[in-house]
Amino acid sequence: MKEEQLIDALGKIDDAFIAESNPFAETGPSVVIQGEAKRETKMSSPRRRRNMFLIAVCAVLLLSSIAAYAAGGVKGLFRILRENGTDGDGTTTVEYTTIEDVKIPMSAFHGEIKNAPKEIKKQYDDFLKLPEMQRFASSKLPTSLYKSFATVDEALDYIGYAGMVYPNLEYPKERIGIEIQGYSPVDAELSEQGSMLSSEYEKAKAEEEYSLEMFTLMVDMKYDSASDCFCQSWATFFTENAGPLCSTRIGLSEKAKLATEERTAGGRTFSLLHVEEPDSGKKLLFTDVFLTEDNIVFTFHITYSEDNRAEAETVITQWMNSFRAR
Amino acid sequence: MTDAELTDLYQNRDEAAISATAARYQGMLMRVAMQILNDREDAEECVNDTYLAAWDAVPSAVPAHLGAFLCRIARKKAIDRLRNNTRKKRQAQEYAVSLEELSEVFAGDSSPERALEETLLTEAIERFLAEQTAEVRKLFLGRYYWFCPVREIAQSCGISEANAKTVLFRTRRKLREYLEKEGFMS
Repeated sequence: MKEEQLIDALGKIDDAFIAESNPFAETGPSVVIQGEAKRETKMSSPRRRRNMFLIAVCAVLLLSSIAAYAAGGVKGLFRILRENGTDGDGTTTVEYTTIEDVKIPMSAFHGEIKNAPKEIKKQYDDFLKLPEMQRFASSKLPTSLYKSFATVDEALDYIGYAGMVYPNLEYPKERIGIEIQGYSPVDAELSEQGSMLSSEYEKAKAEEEYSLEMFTLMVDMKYDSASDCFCQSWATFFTENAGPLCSTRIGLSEKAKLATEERTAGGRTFSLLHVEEPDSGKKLLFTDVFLTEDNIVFTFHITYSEDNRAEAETVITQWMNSFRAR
Repeated sequence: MTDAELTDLYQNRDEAAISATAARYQGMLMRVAMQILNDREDAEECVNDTYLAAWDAVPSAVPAHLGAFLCRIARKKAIDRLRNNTRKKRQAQEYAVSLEELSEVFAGDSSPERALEETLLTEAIERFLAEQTAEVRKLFLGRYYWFCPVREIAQSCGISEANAKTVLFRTRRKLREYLEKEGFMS
């Protein structure tokens, strides 16, 4: 096919063209094409959120005070950490941390997820059989697992957590999956990648048993097919192997504008974070909504433009009102 | 770590090069691969292959732009994987649509037997791109090199989606005329 030849020929163009046009670059070199000095636009797009454990907190600014533990009260708080860069490339990190201990014992999960530790163990054993360089080059740790599902009900059955509520938003689901983080004492102790190659570490890993640290059910949806705006609904479960504090972290640029609020809907109180990220003269807008209930951290993430801000608000309200018992 | 320091690690055959590269570029390379493959597992394997290919390539070919160099490898690996993949999976929509749009460049060509010399074609495309404005290059390559949705590219250029589509249409037509003049079409 000729258009395939064009695609292949485009693939060999000079690096300068690639660097100039890269939409995924976080920082850029200066590139000169045909005498025109062009500084690559820095894309300050929000980084994809990852659930993380809070290991150390320094220079924390509390955004909201801790509410009472009364039924319906806010059960989490936002912390903001700003690090200024030398060339506008600093960062802003927002963490939502649960106040109460939300860890769930593994015995409370009755679905097939009980077998995930064995899968992770096998995955790690297979990883050890790879040539050394391939292990080094691996883009993900062999102690995490991702499971895809056709429906949300299948995913919830896989978890098998009795008596929980779940938000049931009726928009086309683009992707449904559970990201599972395995736990091993050896990983916690020897976290530097270099040490992963030592024979002592390998021997320890080969002999140990695995458990689960945490897992997140993630549902991606598109709520506006015309504008490509999307939303994501997450439910995070922390097990007894999780660290002392359970938090969700969001990475932003140093110029991100933030606003928080609390809203009540359906008898529940939600914490909201509104973000405006400047990006090449335009704005990236999104809102994250948090709720902690049944020891589960529910998060809703929605992106929008100025044009469909009202529609996004409607979807947020729908999500908040969609919690149903399973 | 800067690109220069990273490149030094490769040239000194220091195995820390790969983990350092992953720390800096993994997110970007995953996005490049996902745009084409739309499958997380495939994209992760593609990114793994990219690191190994970079390890093999760098001592003899020191890149001026390490990020661009890695993206080029990741893009090619992803396209090759997509073409060779015989498993049932959904093809990345943007790749398929981009391909369809580019077929206009060759529509009506009366010599389907002509074998396009890839190197000559690449050089011709580079000359064509050098004559365009930076915004046109960004739109054109954003669509046909990076396979981004038109809306995203339009937003990054600060123009409407309709404008972006018009620019792409005109650029495809100009590319066709340019390649005809250069003798690639007949």
